[in-house]
Amino acid sequence: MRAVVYDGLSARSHPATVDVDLGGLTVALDDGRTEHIPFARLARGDSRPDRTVIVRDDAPDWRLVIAEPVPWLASVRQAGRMPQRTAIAYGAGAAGLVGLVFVVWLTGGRLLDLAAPLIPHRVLEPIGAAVAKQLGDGEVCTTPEGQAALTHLLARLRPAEGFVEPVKIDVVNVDAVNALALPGGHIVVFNGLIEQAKTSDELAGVLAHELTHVQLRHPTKALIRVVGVIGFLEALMGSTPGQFAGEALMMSQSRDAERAADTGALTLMSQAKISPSGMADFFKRMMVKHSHKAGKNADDWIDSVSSFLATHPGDEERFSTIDAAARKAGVTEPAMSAGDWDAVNQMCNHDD
Amino acid sequence: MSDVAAPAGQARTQQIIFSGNTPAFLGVAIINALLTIVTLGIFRFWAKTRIRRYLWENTTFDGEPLEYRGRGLELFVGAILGTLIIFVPVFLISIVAALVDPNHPAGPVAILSRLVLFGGLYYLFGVGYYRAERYLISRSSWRGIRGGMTKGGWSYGGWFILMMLFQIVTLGFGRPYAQVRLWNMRMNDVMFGSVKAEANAEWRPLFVRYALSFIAAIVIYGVVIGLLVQDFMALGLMAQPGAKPDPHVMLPLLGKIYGMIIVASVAVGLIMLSYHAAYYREILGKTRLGGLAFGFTATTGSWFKYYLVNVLIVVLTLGLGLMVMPYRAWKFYMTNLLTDGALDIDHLMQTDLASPSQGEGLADALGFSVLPF
Repeated sequence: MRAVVYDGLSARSHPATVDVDLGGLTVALDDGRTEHIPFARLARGDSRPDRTVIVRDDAPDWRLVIAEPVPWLASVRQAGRMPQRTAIAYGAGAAGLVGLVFVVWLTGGRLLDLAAPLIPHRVLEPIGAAVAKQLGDGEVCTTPEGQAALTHLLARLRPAEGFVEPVKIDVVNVDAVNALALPGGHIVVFNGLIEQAKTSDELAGVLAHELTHVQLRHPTKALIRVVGVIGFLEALMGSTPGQFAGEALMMSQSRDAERAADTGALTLMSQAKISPSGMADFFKRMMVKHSHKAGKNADDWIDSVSSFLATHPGDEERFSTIDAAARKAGVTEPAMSAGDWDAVNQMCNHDD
Repeated sequence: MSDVAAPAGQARTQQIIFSGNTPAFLGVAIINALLTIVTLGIFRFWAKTRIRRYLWENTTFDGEPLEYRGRGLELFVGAILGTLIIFVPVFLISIVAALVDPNHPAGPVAILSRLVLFGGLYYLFGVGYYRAERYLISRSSWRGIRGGMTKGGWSYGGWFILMMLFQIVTLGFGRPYAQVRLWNMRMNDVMFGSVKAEANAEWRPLFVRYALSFIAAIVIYGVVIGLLVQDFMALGLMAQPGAKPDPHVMLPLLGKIYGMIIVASVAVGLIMLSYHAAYYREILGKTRLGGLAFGFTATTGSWFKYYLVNVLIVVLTLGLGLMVMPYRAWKFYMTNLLTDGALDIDHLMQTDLASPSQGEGLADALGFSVLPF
């Protein structure tokens, strides 16, 4: 079979005759040189019906061009596999990347502990504000009396070591029963939760819990995780950078984080002489309510934050910890005066 | 002696011929589109590679097809590296700036860090362009001979910034000089096998055409902005404080604003098209590869027709026609690309330039492409 060889050294074409045997091809150049190349070395390059190109892996620039149908072509693998050295380099790179991911995975908590305090409040504050705005659909409820009552409660719950960043509480006019700590010390309480809470102690329990999230910088850590991982992936996938903050919110906190927030909340409440019974009652009611809900794979992300337990995974153990603390609590005072509690309840007045 | 690759006739000039066809290309493009969707975009690197392979192997130079040797994996690895190169410093600089001077979001530290970021990104833009071109050329081969570029693009990035500053200083009138100079710089680094490309395009033949188009564009935009300002003033006089905008007034006005902006943009585009056409004729007409001289035949009219049909295809197919754009672009370039003379095949040896192991990462991360595919 007649063919042309390009030796990869010059552009000159070398007419040749090709013979095929079981082991490979014998290429005899018209100028007398002959070479036997085993099939293992050969692969198919660009091929059209009228033109077959054979490449070889030990000489990447070498080309054998045959301008007639080639019946033995099926026994030659398609080119496209990498040369061994490249494969090893990529393999090592991939292994390194996997290793890096693994190390970050293992030490991630420690890294986050170190990184989170480095991000200044003024960077986080607008992010939290943007998410809060999105959540409340712009409808933040505020009355001077209600805000004063919340500020007063916040002052009572103030940790001994002080707040790690300025804390801001917003009540938004959303019926869902939930409260969230956002980056920048921004705590958002849904009006549904205030309506659902029977006493100011119950609200205080939720606030103390969210406040501990802020103290432990959980929202900031979630943000770093999402910006780091999803941001990188999105950049890679070529889509526009998405709403990182929104996605950070969607990630439910880990059980460990929730337990830590509970423990912190109990400490804050004991310092403030507020009874944890309200927190226990509220938690119990939410657990009963949540158990009636089916799946939580909601399409709309607002649905995924529509219940306290969807973003605050709960279990009996958490409840019993709070309940035990409630039984041990000493002398307590109500979290708010009746007037203050009333003012908070009136913040989102559904007059219109 | 029979050379299967030799053309039937004896031609003194070696010609470039593209013989692809739309149905075959669509076969490639549709599978690409489906796989890209299914893989959430990750397949696009392999998709690009498949498209290029199709276009290259259906383009013959002197009867012998070109060969595209790139791999999707190389683009994928390039994209990861490019993303890291851009993402990590941006992230670090932002954090450092925020830490050093947290109380002054508009203070000197913030401004300096922003300057460093923008300057750095613009620099990487130039570097990325050079390197993307280098990758493409290094993956193109013919008769077993590869191309390459002699540098890494790092100094080119500096020239890229310098040329941008030059355009700013000359209030935009320095564009032909900048574009031509950068083209010459890149092309003079190109080698195909053992043959070095030479480019000595000039800006002077382009300048009058550019200056006239540029002035006309400024005048058009000036007139449109003047008219719009008049409209806004009239609106401002009518509006009562607190009154809701009257849809009977607002809708036609919005239509008028958008209409005028679109008309102005199209008019400016058409005016600049004549420079665009002249620019391509100049740069390719003054570029050669050994004994082979190039030329570009597309006139302002051919560019106009090319773009117009592109727009019509995309609009009439509700966007699906975007898939054939690489084919149309390549066909347009290849049918307009002239050759004169010949490469001395007997003395064309393999290049000794190393070829990069990955490519186009910076370009991908910065969201541009040297070719429209």
